Amino acid sequence: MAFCRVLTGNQAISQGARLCRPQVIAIYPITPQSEIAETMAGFTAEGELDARIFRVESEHSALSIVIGAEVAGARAFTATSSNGLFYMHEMLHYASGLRLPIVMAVANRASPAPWNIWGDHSDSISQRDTGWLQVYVENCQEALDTVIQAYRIAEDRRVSLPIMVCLDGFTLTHVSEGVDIPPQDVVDEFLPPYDPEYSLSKLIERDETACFSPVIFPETSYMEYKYLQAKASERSKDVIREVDREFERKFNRKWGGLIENYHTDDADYILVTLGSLTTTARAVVDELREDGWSVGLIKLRFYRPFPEKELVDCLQDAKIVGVLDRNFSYGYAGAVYSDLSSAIDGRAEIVDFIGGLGGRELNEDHFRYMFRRLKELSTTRDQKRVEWIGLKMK
Amino acid sequence: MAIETDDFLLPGHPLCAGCGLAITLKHITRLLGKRTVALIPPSCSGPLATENSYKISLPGIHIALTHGAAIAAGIKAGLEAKGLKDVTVLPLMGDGGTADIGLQALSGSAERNDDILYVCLDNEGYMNTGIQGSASTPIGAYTTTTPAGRNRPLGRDRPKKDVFRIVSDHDVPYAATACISYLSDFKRKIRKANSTEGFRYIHVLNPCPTGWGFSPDKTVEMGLLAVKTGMFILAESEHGRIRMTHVPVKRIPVKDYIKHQSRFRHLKDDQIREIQKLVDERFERYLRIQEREDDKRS
Repeated sequence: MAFCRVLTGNQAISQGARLCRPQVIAIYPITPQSEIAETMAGFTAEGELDARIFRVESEHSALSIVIGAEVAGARAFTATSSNGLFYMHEMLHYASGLRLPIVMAVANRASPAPWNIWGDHSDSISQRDTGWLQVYVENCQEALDTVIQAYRIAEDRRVSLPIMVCLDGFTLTHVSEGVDIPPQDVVDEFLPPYDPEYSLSKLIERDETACFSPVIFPETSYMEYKYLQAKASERSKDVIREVDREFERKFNRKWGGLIENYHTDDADYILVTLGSLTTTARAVVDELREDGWSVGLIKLRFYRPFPEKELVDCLQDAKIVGVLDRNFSYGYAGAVYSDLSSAIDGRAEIVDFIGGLGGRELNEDHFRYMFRRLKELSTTRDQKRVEWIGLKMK
Repeated sequence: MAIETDDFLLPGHPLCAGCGLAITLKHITRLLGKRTVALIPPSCSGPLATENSYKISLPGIHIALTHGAAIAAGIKAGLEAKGLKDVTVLPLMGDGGTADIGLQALSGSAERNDDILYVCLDNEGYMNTGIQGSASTPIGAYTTTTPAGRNRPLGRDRPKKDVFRIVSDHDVPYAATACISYLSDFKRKIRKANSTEGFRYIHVLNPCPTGWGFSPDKTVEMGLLAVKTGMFILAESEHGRIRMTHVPVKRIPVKDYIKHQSRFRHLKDDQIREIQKLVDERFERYLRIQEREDDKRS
């Protein structure tokens, strides 16, 4: 029987992970993720989850343990944030290169220095090229549901890639909402046990000897491995759409697959957001629409794979598009803006709004301002492409 | 023509002539048998695990330098989750991957008492990549990153890090040092480790003709001299209680060991006397630990 509980984002992630029955868990605590480490430990202590949980000395070892478990053929789970994610960096490449469908929650947090524990997306965005799929969730229900979707997507043999489920530090990790917890038997039907084509346990059972991830030479097959990995990342788009549709059939909820668009069909001014700020942006779109503005909104769920086709379809008829980047690629612009500009390829004007870094508040006024700026900039030619929002200096 | 062998280290491997590692690997894998997963980091063992030439006849994985103990613990847990409870997970780490960059993962795993058999294959430097110095390089040794010069006449100017004692101080079920030159001691320790549950650590000295600069026919002799001089101490520990397993009746001077190796060629007599003093001190420290443990037992 399904039932609703008031859960923080961290608890929702943990409930989602529990329902997926990971067999090995290794999580190092870090603000604002620690509650996931605590909740998963509690589940195993109370016998609500039959898993081997490791108290680790670092995130590097946490991900290494999870990698080891998945190479052996078991389902595994971990979570981290900011400095912890950076400490994992070496192993991020290793996990995707080994094509391991690890699911990891990332409680999004700023990238010190200066020291800051509050939310922005610079931690996960800066890991863009590690080969992990990245999905950004808007609320606690989506956090729980997306963990379940993520295992299905990652373990699909057309994909076999790890996924980061990213949730905003504090604004999601520490905010409580009513969350429907799906029944275990329905999740079990949706997500069968992990059965990889190759694993160390299969080698041992078949009494075979082989070496995973051996040294590969320049003129043999390294590039071919990487090409197959690139193809799988591309192919994951179909799987993400399919899984969201099937999820809806099973659980009566859908999250849009790669993106969710809101009043974009007839919109002149469209804003692209990721994560929990989408809720505020959506309220402002409703308000401005009542005032007669043709504004729209796109929630970018998956940043990798980058949903180029969906975005172009929705955005090419807009007068101007704004991107809200809670990150910055120093020396150029926000990362989402850069990728979107390349996808749009001149078919629409694009402006980059940098905001919400290190947990800086972005409220309805800021979103009204961004839409106003889009309208102003759509009629001027000499537009500044990157604007910092809510800056307290000139 | 295929060469038939019962060994798990296959013929035609690319290790150097006279490599101590080859002897060590052959014996370890023989003693552990086929329910073993070999973990091979970038190290002198790395060339045994290439795409077209995998020379260890066991299920294996080429791992990273940093995480030997952690990924081993994950593999063990994953195999157990899949119902395979009797498989030995064997990270075959080098001394750089143990004493330097992998020490944190090693300490974390030892503290958790993960059920793995961690082997440190110690050739006292990053030999596969061109003889760079590690924390396991002995004092006075020339390496390409600890060259002897006017401003640093010793070359490497700090004593070898004693990882065995560090691991032992995690109160793990079993830890030992070993050397193929003392084969029965070596084999007994591998068997003991294999029959123990929980975290097991074997630190093996592998004399390295290429990196140390001695003739490839002197590998076993170098191991004998390392132990007889006290440059390398054979010991073991159970739950933190350290015991020397071979005490030379009369230690021979350090000079009789280092004179065979070109890595020590630059040392002057007064420097050798300094090294002798450090070796004596470390040896006596072990004797005192041993006496304390003997007192506790009696």
